[in-house]
Amino acid sequence: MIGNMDIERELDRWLAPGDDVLPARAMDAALARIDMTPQRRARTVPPRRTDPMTLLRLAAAAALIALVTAGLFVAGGGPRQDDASPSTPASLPARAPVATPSLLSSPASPSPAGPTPTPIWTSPPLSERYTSKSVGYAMPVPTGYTGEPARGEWNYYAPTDDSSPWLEHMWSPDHLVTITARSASLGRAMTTDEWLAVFLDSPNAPYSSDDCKVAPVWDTIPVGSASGRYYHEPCGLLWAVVADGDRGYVFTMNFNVYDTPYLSDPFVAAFKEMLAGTELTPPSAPT
Amino acid sequence: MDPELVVAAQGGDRDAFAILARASGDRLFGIARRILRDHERAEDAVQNALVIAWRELPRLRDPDRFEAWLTRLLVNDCYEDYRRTRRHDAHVRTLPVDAPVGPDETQRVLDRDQLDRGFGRLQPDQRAVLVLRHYLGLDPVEIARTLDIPEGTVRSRLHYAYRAMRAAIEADLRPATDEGGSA
Repeated sequence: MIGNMDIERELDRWLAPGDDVLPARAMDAALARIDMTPQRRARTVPPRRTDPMTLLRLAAAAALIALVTAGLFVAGGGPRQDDASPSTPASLPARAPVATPSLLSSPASPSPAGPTPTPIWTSPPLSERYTSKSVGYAMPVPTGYTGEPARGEWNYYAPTDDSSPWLEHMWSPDHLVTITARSASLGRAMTTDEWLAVFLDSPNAPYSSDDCKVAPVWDTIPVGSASGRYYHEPCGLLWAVVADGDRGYVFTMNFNVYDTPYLSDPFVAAFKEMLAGTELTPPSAPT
Repeated sequence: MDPELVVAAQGGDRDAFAILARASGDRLFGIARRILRDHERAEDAVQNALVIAWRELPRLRDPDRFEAWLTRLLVNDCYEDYRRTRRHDAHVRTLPVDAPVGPDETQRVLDRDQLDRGFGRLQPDQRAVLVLRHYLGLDPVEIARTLDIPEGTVRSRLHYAYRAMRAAIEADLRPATDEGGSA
C-alpha cells in the first residue's frame, strides 16, 4: 500500500517526464503577443562619482578640443555641405506585429513611408455583462472575460497595487486586456470633479514616469448616465474616474501592446464603449 | 541555452527570443501542467511567462541564468493562476499526469490515482517544489536558486509537501473517505 512506501520514489515515477508537448498554436499565440509587447529597458546606471582632479583634467581636455575645433573651423571657412555626415543614429529595422487569425483582424506593416497602418486589434462585441456586487457597477464586456471580485473596502489613501484586496480585475481571454475597478465611500455626496481632486491628492493618482512626463488632461467621458473623467496615461493605463452620490469609482484598462495610436486606439475605443454602457449601483454588501 | 541568443534577445532580437522560447516550450509546459493539472491553464501560464520574459529580459543581469529565471517566471504565473481561479473554480477539472507504467499495472494505476488526489490537495508552492524536485530532478539548492528563495524554505516546503501527501493518501485509504475540501 502506498501509505508505507517511499513516497519520494513514487513521486519520481509519477512526475517523471512524459509526453509533454506544448501545442504549436499556443507557442504561436505567445510569439504573436510578444510581437506586440515592448521590452522594458533596464534603468540607466547612475553616473559614477568622479574625484575633483579627474573633473579638472576632463574640463581642461574639453577646453583644448573646443579651441582646436574652433581654430580648424575658422581656417577652413566652415563646413561644406558635401562633408556633412549623417547625424541621426542608425535605426533598428522595424518589425511589424505578426498576424494571427485569432488575435488580429487585419494584419498591418507599419512603415513610415507607407500608407497609414490599420488597427491590428478589434474588440469583440460587448455581448456579456459583468455585475460587481462588491464594487457596485455592471459593465458590458466581450464574451470570455474572467474576473476576480474585490475582497475589501477601498481606502483611497492607502497605496494600491495589483494584489490589493479592494481592486477588482477582469482579464480578456488572450490576456491582452486587464480592467480594474474599485470604489470607495466618500462620506458625503461629491461631484466627479470634487472626487477627482481628492483622488489626485492620494497615493493612487496616476504615476508619471520620467520618460512620459506630460501634464495630465482629464477629458469628460460618459460612464453610463453619469459624467466621468478620462485620462490616457502616456505609456501607461487608461483611467476613468467618476462619482455617483457619495461613492467614488476608478476604472482602469491596461493593454499589453505598444502605446502608439494605431495600436492603442482600438483599446481606447473598447474601454470607452464599456464605460458608456456601465451602470453604477451602490454595492449591495459593502465589504 | 545559448547565452549569445539570450544577449541578442535582450537587445530586442525577437527571432533570437523565438528560438529560446521554442527550445523551452515543452519543458515549461511540463512544469505548468504538473503544477496546475490542467492543459489549457498550463498553456496560458506558459504564454504569460514567455511574454513577461520577453518584456523583462533586458533586466536579466546574467544570461547564463536565463533558464532558471524563465522557470521562476512560469512558477510565479502558476501561483497567480491558482490565486485567480480558486475563487471561481472550487472543483477544478484535473488531468492525470502521464507517467511510464510499471510492471504491476493494476496496483500502479491505483497508486497514481491516490497520488493525483493527494497532490491536488497541496498548495501551489508545495506542488512547485515537488515538480522541480521530481520532474526536473533539481536538488534543494538548485530549486532555491531557481525560485530565488532560501534553501531552508525549499527543504521545509518539501518536508511539508511529503507529509501532506502521506496524510492525504492515508486519509484516502480509509473507508468512507470525506471527499470535501480541495486545495
